[in-house]
Amino acid sequence: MSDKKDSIFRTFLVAFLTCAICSVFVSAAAVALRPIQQKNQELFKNKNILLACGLLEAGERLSATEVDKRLESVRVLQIDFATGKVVAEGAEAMKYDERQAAKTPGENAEIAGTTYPVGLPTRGKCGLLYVSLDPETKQVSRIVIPIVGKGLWSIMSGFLALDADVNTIGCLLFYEHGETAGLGGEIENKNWQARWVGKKAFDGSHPAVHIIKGAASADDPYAVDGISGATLTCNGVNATVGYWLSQYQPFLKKFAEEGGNVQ
Amino acid sequence: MSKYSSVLLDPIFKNNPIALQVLGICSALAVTTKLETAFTMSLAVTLVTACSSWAISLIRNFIPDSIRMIVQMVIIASFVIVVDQILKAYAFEISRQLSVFVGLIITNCIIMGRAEAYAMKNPPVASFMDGIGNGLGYSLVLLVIGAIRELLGSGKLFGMTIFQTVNDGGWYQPWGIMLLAPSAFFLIGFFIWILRTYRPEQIED
Repeated sequence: MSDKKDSIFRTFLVAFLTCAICSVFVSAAAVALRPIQQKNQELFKNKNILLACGLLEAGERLSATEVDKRLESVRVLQIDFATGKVVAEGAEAMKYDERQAAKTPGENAEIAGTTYPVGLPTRGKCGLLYVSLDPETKQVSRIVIPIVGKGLWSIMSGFLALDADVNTIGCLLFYEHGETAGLGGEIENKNWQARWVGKKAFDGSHPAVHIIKGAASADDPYAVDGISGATLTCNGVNATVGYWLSQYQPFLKKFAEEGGNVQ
Repeated sequence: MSKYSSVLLDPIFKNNPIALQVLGICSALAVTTKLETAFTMSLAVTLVTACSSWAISLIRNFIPDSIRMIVQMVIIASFVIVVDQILKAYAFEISRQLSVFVGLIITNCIIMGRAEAYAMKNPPVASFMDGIGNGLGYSLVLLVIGAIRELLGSGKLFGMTIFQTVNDGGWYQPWGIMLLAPSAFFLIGFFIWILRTYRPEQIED
């Protein structure tokens, strides 16, 4: 019996069957649970939009309906990168899927030859933008742009929020990434993210805010502390922030000139 | 049922996987800063140990010796992925806090240890019970350590304030080291010390 059990044929058979059964089991679970997971992901993204808009305190727990309610004071705009014009807004803009557009020929544009090695081949022709209004004065309080780019291992997705002067950084956060936990993964660290607050995004004409190696001087409005052990991730963050700021710049410029009136 | 009771209950005090076998220390340090994560992790490990022991025991007579460990790993890994997927669907916030540690259940020595030491030689139901038992033994340590660390480190239990901390305008000055990994080493040490005082037969020469 034991000879038979250890024969080469039996070994291969058992290995094959184990793999086959386990893979069916794992894929079944993944496929069956995907809709619920996507809903969670969506909710988590929305919470991060609120966080970037300053409409949610870190650590505050909100139900899905409360999140939707607070999102009502956030205007969603879809803008054309080439012209800086608003193409759609509100529910119409929310239908726009940036990731899908980046993959669709005709709706995307190549990212090549820019000074910002963002690590992605293409992006959508349009981009979304979130403008949060002060609940009382109805004045613009934050402008949030989505940023996405490659770190060391993974695609990092996050938001960069500018204050109403369209220059001072109000918030930077990453809500999705696969960087090394404890090193590059520290881009998720609230204390590090807080170091971006108050820095200036543009030096007049170009995106200027960037991470430097080591500690940044408090007097330098463009430099942010580096994360030790995460140089390559930080390079990715620099490229990502710089690239998306440069893409949204035409719109932001107009936005500032028109005194925050977006049409 | 009574014939399984010793299989089920022994690992809790008599043969505790963390305190006596000293397995699974890594995650016991990492996820015990809060009771909520410790509890979720306990549940996940118990489930994985029980299910994988059961599945391995079911096919124990067919597994060729030469690929025995690989087959065990494949089965364990499958259950871990399924648990991870379930957590992502139904406990999204907690699964984000546990981050890599859910995936690392695969390398938790308790599970592999039980597969090798018990499930390969015993029938499925007994193996399942053994898995639950060892999971409970692991959970006991995690919950005790988690409760002490959360209470002393942030004045809370399951996120609810017990001691109002100074930062929140209360009287309690949080004991910072309790939130750092070394404190778990000390606490597990104390746990083993107390356990062996009551059960001197566990003392090694």
